[in-house]
This record gives sequence, structure tokens and C-alpha cells, in this order.
Amino acid sequence: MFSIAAAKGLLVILDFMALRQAPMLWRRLMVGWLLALCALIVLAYALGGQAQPA
Amino acid sequence: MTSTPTSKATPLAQALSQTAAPRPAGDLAIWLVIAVELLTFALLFLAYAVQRTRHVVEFNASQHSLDLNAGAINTVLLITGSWCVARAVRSAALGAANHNAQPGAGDGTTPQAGHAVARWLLAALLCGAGFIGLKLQEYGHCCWPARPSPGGWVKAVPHAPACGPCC
Repeated sequence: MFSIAAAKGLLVILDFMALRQAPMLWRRLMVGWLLALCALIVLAYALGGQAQPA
Repeated sequence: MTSTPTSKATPLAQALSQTAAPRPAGDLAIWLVIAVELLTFALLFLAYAVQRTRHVVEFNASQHSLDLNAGAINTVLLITGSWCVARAVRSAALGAANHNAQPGAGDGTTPQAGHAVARWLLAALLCGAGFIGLKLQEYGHCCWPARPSPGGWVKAVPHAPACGPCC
């Protein structure tokens, strides 16, 4: 699920925001922000445990 | 291929545009808005992560009250709507480029591009309407009055089945 969300975010950054041809610094800033957020959420689930089925 | 907007530029301008470093699309204002959005969502997700690690049971219980299928459909609707708007913008840009490439043409777009833009925007509107309809189906029973009352939108169905955290 997180990989799908990350892939969607990557497409938005590179294509919808047209950063594919932008300077490397802008791409690294945006993609770094996306990866940091995904890592933060995965870390929150890893530390707190997965939701159990109802 | 179609002509580019720089086809009418002077040789010097063409040479400068070819040698200039690539820049991100959009002006300073839109990037300021994006920066504020990034900061806002970063703080939001940081708060979510911290609170989830401290209150796992409550977060898991709330998570089970959500409708996974409705959430998945809503996500698809939102992404599809965004894609339709992006296609409309692309159609408008292509239409303007084709129109401006014609000799003596002023600002504007081609009729075909105008129709394409209208179709893409209509599709985006349908996606948005679907999103709202699904949200009303999810949460409407929490707010819709069972019978007319002076209060209007009140909690009139306190024990509706499959009632989520809104009730």
C-alpha cells in the first residue's frame, strides 16, 4: 500500500508538477520530502504495531 | 510535430532559450503555495506518527470504523479527476500552441482543443460528483434528519447501522 502511494506521489512530482526536466536540486527536494514522509509513516506503524482485523 | 511557441522568436532568443538552464514550471507564487502545503502536511503526518505510536489501540479502533471499499473508490475517483484536469490543461496548451502557430492568429485556441478541454473537465466534474455522492452515502445517515424539524441538519438517527465515528 505504501509503495503504491509512493509511486503515485513520484508520478505527481515528476509529471504533474513537471519536475522531470527541472534542475536536480528541485527533484531531490521534492522526492526527498516524499520518501521522508513515507518512511515516517512506516516507522509509526513499525513502532506502534499493525492494525488487527476487527 | 507541432510548432513550438519559440518558433517566432528571434535567433538570439532561440539560442538563449536553448542554452539557459532548465527551470521548474510555474512562478514564485505557486511555489510558495506548494512550500506551505508541504510544510503543513509534513507537520500533519509528523503529528499522526507521534500520536499513533502513543495511542495505538485508539487509532486501530478508529481505523476499523472506516469503510475500506469506499475509501479505495474515493481514492480512484480523486486520482482520476486530477488526471482529467491535467489532460484538460495539456489539451488547452496544445490548442493554444497550434492556434498561435497559424499566421496572423491572435491569442486563442482551436475549436477541437476547446471541445477536448470541455470533455476532460466534464469528466473531472463527474469524478468530483461521484466522490461527493459516495461521501454522502457514507456519512449522510449521520446528519440527515429522519423527519422535518426546525433544527434542519441534526443527528436524527442516533443508532443507525454501521454508524462510524461521526455519530
